[in-house]
Amino acid sequence: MLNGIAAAAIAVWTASAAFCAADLRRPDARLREWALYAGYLALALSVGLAIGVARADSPDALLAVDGVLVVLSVLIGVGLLVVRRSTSLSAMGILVAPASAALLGLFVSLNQSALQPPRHPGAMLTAHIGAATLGLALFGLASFLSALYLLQERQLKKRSFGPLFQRLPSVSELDRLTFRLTIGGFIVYTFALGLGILWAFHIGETGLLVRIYLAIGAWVVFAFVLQTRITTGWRGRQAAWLTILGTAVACAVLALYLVA
Amino acid sequence: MNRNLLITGLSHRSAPVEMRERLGVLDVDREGALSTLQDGEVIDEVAIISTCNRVEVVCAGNDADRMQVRLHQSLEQLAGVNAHWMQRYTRSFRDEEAIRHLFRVSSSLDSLVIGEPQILGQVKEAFATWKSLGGTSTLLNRTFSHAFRTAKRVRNETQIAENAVSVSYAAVELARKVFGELKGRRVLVVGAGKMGSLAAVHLREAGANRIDIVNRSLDRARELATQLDAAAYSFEELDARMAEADIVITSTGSQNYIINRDRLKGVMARRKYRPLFLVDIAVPRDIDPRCDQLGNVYLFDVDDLERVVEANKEARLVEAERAEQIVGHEVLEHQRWIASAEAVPTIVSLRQKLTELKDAEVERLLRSNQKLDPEALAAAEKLATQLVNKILHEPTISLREAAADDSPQLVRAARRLFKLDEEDATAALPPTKPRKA
Repeated sequence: MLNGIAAAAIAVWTASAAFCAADLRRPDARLREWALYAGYLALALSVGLAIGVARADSPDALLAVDGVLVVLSVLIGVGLLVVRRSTSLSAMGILVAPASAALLGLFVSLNQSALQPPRHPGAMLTAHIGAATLGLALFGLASFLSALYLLQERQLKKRSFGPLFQRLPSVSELDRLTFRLTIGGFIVYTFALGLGILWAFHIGETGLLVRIYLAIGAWVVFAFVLQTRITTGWRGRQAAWLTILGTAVACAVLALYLVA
Repeated sequence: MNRNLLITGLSHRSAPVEMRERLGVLDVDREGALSTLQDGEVIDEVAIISTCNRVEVVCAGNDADRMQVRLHQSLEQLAGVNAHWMQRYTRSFRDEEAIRHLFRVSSSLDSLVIGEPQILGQVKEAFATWKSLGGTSTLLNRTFSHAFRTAKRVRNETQIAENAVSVSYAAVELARKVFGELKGRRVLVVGAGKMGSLAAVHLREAGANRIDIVNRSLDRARELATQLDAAAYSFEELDARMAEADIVITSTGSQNYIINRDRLKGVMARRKYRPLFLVDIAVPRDIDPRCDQLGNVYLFDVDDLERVVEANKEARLVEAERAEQIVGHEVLEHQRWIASAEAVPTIVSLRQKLTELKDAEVERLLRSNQKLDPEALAAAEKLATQLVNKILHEPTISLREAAADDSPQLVRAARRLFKLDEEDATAALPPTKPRKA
């Protein structure tokens, strides 16, 4: 049942991505409408899946890695619908929709029972996982915007004034949105990291050290991006690349849980 | 009998400007032109579209061949040209092609710059003028209205009017791709050239709120600043002004670069690396092209702006294909309306016949019941009117649809069935309004 809902959500996210791609290739208001409706439907299915996961076992099931994947897909889906007002739905959709579909695909491949949620997680672990998931979603959206920034900046520098150039938002808008999302993600992620370290020491689990170092590495990257931006105004290509790098490192922490 | 549409005239596609001027006389003495063209016999509706790129006479009548001959004769007389000239420079469109041409012109598909926005306003103005003079009636009124609806659809459903197709607007478009909204942006014009100030004016129209001018001659800078409602500065303040500006337009006559990479590096640090959009429209160039390698610096020269214009023109051509499909659909719709209008005389006769029957019956009722209560009489008359309307509703729709589908059998059957006066069928459309004196 849950796999069926996930498969339906993957199919609708894929359709939404296809409409976005077609609109980028040849702008058409109807395609954008279809992409948006497909996005709403896919998001509704993902929310339904998250509720299904919680009800099948217990709400704690959402704290297991597969549950986190579903919540993450919901969060970046919501993020897409929020940021589409300030940027291009099609440009963001072509990145977010496949990412959401991939997260759900990973959920299906894990086959639910393979991963057990932590027993009696407690408030600290719940807050840690919740904040880390939200932070990762915000960093993910920021890195998608950074990718669009790099693409649009390249179009400007290479003088490629084709349809993609016309459809992508301005570099300043992309930069501004990335900055805001990075700040939001950084605050939440700092909270998650602090709780995570405290929890690891609390249970005396030394096997988590690599993950902690990686998470601190991601935190340092984002701290550097934000600190230089605020103090010297540093921004642009390098900042965009570092945002993507930071997100990749943060994702690696989640990947380690999967591998473990 | 069918009503015909005819458009005869010349445009940038068929005649050079000196020839287009010859027919321009039609728009000078409009009343004289109207009295010559609208004879009430062959041509009963006239409107003239006159812009810098076209002069075209749109007319309606009942015989296309006679209209064409008559129109050519009248134009030769009014413009003082001969038949050879007319044949060489003018183009004519009839019925479906005339509708298509008017719809294409209104939608800016026949313009010199495809998608330019002015033409729709010009056609609307021409129509309003000739309508007020009494030149137009049912057919042209409906055809022009439909042309305006088509143009609106084309504008809303395609991207034909989007993106700049002139060099100075290309700078605005590129600035939008760097900053998004231009509201509140500061523009710095370096040099007092015409192109630079024109681009600055466009940027202000797009939302930029402050213009600074830096020039080697401060007097000339002040002169230009007064014209543009801007602030003037000496050349020594260039770095300070650049540190504050978002958009810099250079158009000096300098033979060397006035902004080089090192100078701009310093400026970028002063402005905390906020994006800087530079447009160098000077030849030889004012800004070292290597400046574009700096982060958050977006430098474009005249050739780049030309490239934007070319790319946009190509994009408009692609959109024009979609617009042509919309026009094709609307032309079919309009033809259906014209065809359905051929049922109008039959519908009018039918309604008239039933109304006369109703009136006669009410009259008979009144005669036979002298003491009838006035209220009861009014109720009876109202009932009879409602009955007539209800009886006619479905046949009216069916007759219109049959005419639109080019099936005159039903119209003929209705005329036979109700023994309608055959003379009414000769006019396909409602009679032309009397012309204003």
